[in-house]
Amino acid sequence: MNRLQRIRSFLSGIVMLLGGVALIFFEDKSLTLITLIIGISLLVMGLNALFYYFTMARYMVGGKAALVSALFMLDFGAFTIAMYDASRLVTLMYLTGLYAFTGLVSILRAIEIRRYKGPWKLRLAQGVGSAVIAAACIFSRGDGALLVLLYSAGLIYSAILRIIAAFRKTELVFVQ
Amino acid sequence: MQIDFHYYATYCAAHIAGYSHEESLAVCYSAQFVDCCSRTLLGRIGGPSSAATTQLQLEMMEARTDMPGIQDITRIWSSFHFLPRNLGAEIPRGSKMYKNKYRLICGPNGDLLAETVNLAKHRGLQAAGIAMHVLADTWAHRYFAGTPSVVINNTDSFFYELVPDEGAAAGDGEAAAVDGAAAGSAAVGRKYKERQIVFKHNPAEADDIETGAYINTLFQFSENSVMSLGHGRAGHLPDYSFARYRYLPAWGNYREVVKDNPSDYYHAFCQMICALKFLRGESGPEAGEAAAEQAVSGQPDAGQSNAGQPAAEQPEARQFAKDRYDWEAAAPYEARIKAILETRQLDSSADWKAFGESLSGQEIPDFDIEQYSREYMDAAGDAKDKTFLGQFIAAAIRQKSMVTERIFKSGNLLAGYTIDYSEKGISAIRDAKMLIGAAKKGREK
Repeated sequence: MNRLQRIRSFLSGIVMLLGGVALIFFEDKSLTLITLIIGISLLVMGLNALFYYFTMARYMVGGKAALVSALFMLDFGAFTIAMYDASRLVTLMYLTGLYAFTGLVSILRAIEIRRYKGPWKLRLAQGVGSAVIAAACIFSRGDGALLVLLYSAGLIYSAILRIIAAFRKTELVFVQ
Repeated sequence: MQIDFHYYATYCAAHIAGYSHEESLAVCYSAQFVDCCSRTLLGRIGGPSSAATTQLQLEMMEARTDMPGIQDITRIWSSFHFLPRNLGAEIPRGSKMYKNKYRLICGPNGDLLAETVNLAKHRGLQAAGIAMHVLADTWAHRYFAGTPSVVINNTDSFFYELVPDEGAAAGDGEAAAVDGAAAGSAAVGRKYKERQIVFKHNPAEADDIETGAYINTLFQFSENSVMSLGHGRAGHLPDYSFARYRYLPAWGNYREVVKDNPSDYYHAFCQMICALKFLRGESGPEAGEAAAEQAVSGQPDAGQSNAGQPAAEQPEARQFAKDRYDWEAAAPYEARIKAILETRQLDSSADWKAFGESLSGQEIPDFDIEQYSREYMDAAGDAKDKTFLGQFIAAAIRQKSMVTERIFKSGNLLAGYTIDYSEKGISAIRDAKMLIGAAKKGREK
């Protein structure tokens, strides 16, 4: 990462961290806010995808599909924002999908590490933990406080990763 | 490529190049170990994670695809499996990022290949093995890049396998000739049936070469998805020596590519013999010509052309010459090698093993990933660097460092930054300490 990318990664991490903490404290409005955040994120992703199409994907074989994908994402973002009055359902679906996928990957990874005789138990515990959270989302039947807490925890975790990434080593020593 | 070529065929090439049985085993073990040296393995034996030469499937699944993550992936896959052919390749379209990705496309006989082989010279059998892995993969993995990229590595439904049609008469309308086959390839003049490949995405399934049911990675729109790393979207077809196919590479502007693996693999084999002779310091006919070229170009210590002289009397080439193949050394075995390469089977290990054992008269043990682990784990402190795996790790870090530096110096940040120790003198980075120590002494362990 160059210096600008590091600064961007650090600042976005700080903003996400503050946002995650704030969501916990403003619980009554949080679900609506979360829906807006998801919707706006999709809009931004759609714009990014448009930029990607015009700078790269249009030069590839079958690149038009990237344009369709970008437009679809923009549309889906607008739709999510329009669903702010059903924010509980949007947040529930988002969290369940996210944690179920993360849990599955971690469990598969633990099995792979075990095959290589490496330390697998912690990874398995992480996978089971994520799967339990996904199940909790479903069985909570949209309990607002729980959904906000889970979303905020995920946001804070991503924020910490971004801050760490800003300080990660990307250089290699060249010795000949 | 798979264990059949990286382990057994490399053994054969090393033996033909003049290495002893034990030396050939060390070279081919190191060549195959490149496909095994993951962070998971290094973590278990206590090795430096920066020496990773590959990533396990699920290591990649959980790899972050932010900039540091992509740089880490690119360092590993471009350095060892998809060596870029031309870091300065010109292409009259696309943004800078597009061009940077395009310039990482792998192919044989690039400048980086010569540097890879030169880097391994006088640096032990492990370094030679790593160089042979890289060299062989430049043939198998050509047209794909060692960085996650949809716009470079994607393939679409236009993907046809060319299956030999033994019953076809000349002029048969159903069969097609391989137009793109290299001169001298067994493909020339033969007839093929085209079979459209419809890939499946279940990694738990195996390829079925009889029905043409192959597995590839799932298409994802995300440009940096690991699903679009290397030849994942073409499945294992580049890894099978028998495979011939035509397809539209994403970067190719709708021009189709015909890939003739038997021809490419034979080129790889003969180039390995040439490179291994160079690494041994022996000047075969090809190296003799290279030495002569160096003499013409005014470099010191190079002799005149001595192609007719016995190898031991020829001058030693100081730089590896690209696009040279030791056809002569392979000629006595050409029919057998080509038969192995052409046989439609998922794993040619048994055939290569039998060939290798007939060459040396010695048994080639099966590859055992744990063969040298205990030695490394039991060694104390600096003694680790002198073990078999210690020397492999040093050679791997050196190769990764060289390739990363070349990519960085070309103005491309996809593999990250490098700090030139000779300029900056930074010695606090633990993983490079062994190289720094060796550089200070002016020799290798």
